[in-house]
Amino acid sequence: MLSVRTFRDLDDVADAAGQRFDVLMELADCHAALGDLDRAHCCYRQAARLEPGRPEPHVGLGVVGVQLDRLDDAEDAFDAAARREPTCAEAYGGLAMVRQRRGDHAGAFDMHLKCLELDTDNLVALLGLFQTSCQMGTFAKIIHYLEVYLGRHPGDTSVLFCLATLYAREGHFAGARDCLLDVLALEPGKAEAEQLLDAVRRELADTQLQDTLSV
Amino acid sequence: MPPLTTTPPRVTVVLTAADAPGGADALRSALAQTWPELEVLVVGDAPGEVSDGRACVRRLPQPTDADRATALNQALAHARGRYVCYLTGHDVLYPNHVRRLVEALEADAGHGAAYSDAYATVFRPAPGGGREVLGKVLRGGRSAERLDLLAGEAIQPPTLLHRRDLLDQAGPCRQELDSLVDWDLHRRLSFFTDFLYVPGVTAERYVPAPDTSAPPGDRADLPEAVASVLAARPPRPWPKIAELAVVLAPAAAARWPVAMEEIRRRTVVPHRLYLAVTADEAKPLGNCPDDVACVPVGPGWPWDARVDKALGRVECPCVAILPEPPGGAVGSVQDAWHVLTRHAAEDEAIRIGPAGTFAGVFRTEQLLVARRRRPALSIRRSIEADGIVLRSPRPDELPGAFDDLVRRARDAADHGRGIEAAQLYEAAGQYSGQTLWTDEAAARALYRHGGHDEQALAACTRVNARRPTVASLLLEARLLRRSGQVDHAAQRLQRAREFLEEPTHRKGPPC
Repeated sequence: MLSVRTFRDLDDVADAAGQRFDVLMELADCHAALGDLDRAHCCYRQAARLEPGRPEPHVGLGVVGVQLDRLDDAEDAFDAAARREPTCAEAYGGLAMVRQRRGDHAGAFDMHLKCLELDTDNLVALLGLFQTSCQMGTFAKIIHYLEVYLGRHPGDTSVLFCLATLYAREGHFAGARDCLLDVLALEPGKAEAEQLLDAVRRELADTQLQDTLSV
Repeated sequence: MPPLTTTPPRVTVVLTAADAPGGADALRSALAQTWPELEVLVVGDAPGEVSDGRACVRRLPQPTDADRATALNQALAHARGRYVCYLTGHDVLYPNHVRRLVEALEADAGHGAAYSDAYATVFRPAPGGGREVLGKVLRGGRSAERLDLLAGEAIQPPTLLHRRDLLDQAGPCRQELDSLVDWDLHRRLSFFTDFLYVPGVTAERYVPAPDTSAPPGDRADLPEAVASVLAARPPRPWPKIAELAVVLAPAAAARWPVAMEEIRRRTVVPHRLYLAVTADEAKPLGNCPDDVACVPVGPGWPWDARVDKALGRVECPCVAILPEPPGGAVGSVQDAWHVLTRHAAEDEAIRIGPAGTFAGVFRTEQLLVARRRRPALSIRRSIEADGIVLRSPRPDELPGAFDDLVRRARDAADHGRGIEAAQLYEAAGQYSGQTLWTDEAAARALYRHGGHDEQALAACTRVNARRPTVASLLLEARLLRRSGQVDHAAQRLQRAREFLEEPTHRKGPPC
C-alpha cells in the first residue's frame, strides 16, 4: 500500500511542476483572444522566462507581433520557436504568415509547405498555401496536400471546394466534378459550388464532343 | 461549538531542519499564527530567544546525530504545550493552521488528534536566490480510515496537531528508523486516539521539482523500514485498536510456514499468531518465531479441541479462526477484521473466504462464551446455537472499497472511457461522502475525453466554490474557454496565478 501511494505522489509532483507555465500560457491565450495584446505579450514573456527551452511562448509572442503589425518582432519570435523546436509546425506557419504580410509569396509558400510537411492536418497552413498558390499561379504541390488532408477530413467542404477549383484549373474536370458533387451533397444549394459545377460540366461536354469528332 | 476556556491552551510548534533553505519562511509562518498561546521550539540554526509578545521562540542545539527522530525527541522533551504540531524547514503553515485544528479538537472531546490538507509546493531554486514556485498540488483532500493510517503515510506531517500527553502512551520517535519516522509516530498514536479530519488547506510542504534526467532513486532500504514500522507496538492497553489473534490449527503443518509469512506480510493490523500443533508437527518450524505463540497439543487431537486450547491463550479482543491455510484469501483476514470492528452488528462474525467455508473473525469474548456453554458441540454448531451469525462482508463495507472504485475509475480514464470514469468517481464520492475530491477527479476525466464539458464544468464549479486549488481553477478555466467564456476563464486563471505567487503563509489562504 505504501509504495503505491508514494509512486502516485511522485506522478502528482511531476504534473504540478508544469502548472505555473500552463497557467501563464492559458492566461496569455485568453488575453490574446479578448484583444488585450499587451497583457498577452507580458504573460507569454513570463512563460518564456520560466521555460526558456519551450517553443510555445515564442509562438504566442509571434502571433501577438503579427496582430500588432510588428512583423520584425514576430519574425524573431517565430524564429526563436523554430530554433528551440525544429519540428514546431506552428513556428513555420507563423513565419509564412509574416512573409505573406510582407508580400513575399514565394517565402510564404515555402514556409507553408514546411509547416504542412510537419503537420498535414494544419488547416490554416493549407488554406494559406492555397492562397499563395493562387497568387503565384503554381498548384502542383498544393493539390497533394489537399488530397492528404481530405483523406483525413473527407467532409471538409471548404477544402473540397479548393481542390475542385485547382482540379478545374489544371484541366482535371472529372475530378473537379466529383469534388463538387461531394460539396453539394454535404451543403446542398451552395451557390459557388453550383456555378463551378455548371462550368465544369460544360468543359466535360466540350471535351467529350471533341473526342467524338476526332474519332 | 462550546466556548473556549478563558485561558486558551498552549500549543507547541516544533520546527526541525531549521537550517534548510526555507527555514526562515517556516519560522515566520509559525510566528504568524493567529493562536494567542504559542511556544515555538526550533532545532537547528535559527535565532536565539525571541519573543513577539505572544509566541516564545526557543532554540535547541542540533543533535550531533542529526536524524529526524533524534531532533524531534529533543524538542518534544522541552515541549510544554497542551497540543503539539510539527514543522520543518521545508514547510510553511498558514496563519489559521493552529487555530483551526485546536478549535476543532477543543469542540470534540472524542478526538486527541486532528489533521487538515496541505499543498505539495513544487519549486526550483530562483536565479537570484530563494525559491521559485512552479506548481501546487493538493495532498490529502479526504479523511483517512484507521487502516490507511496503519498501512502508510496517510497524513501529511505538517498538517497534524495532537494532544501532547498522547506521546506518554505512544512513546517517543524511534531513533532506529532512518526514514518513515512520521508515519511510525502517526501509526502508534492511532492506537490511542481517533484522528479528526478538518477539511481545508492549512499548510504547504516545499518539494523540489523532479529532475527528469536523473535516474529514479533507489530506495532499497524502504522494505526494511516498512517492516520495522509495521512490527512496532506501543505499550498496552490500546483503547483504539482491537488487536487480532490469528488461530491456526493445522491439518497439514508443512503448509503453514508459507501461510504465516503471507499473513505477516499482508496484515498491517497488529496481530499475533497462535499455532496449535503437536511436537512432531512443530518440528518443520524449528524454533517458534517471536510473533507466534506455539500451543502444544497432543497427537490425534481433533481440530475443535486444538482451537479450544489456543483460544484459552488468546488475549486479543478479536480472533480469526483459520481451519486451512488461507491461500489467496490472506488479504481477507484483515478485511474481515475491519468489517467486524467497523460495521458488524453485536451478534455477527465475519467470514473469511468464499461462502460455505468455516473461517472467520470473531469477537473473542463472544466465542469463548459460546464454547463454555456448549463444549460438547463442534465450534461451528456452538456458534450457531449461541445465535452468532457468520456472514460475508458486503462490498461497501470492505476497507478498500473507495480505493477500488478510484482504481477502476483511473483505469477507465486511462483507456478513454471518460463517462464510465466519472460515474465510478461519483460512486466513490457517494460511498465515502468526500465529494470534493471525487468531483474534481470526475471533471478531469470528462475534460480529458471531451464531449461532456457541461457536466465537467458543473463538477468543477462545485469544487471551486468550496475549495479552489491551482489545478481545479486551471481545469475550470480550460472548460470555460472551450465553451467560449474566455473572460470568465481569464478570471479563474488570474486567481490560480495568485495562488501560485501569493506568499500564502503571510496572508492566509487566497480563498
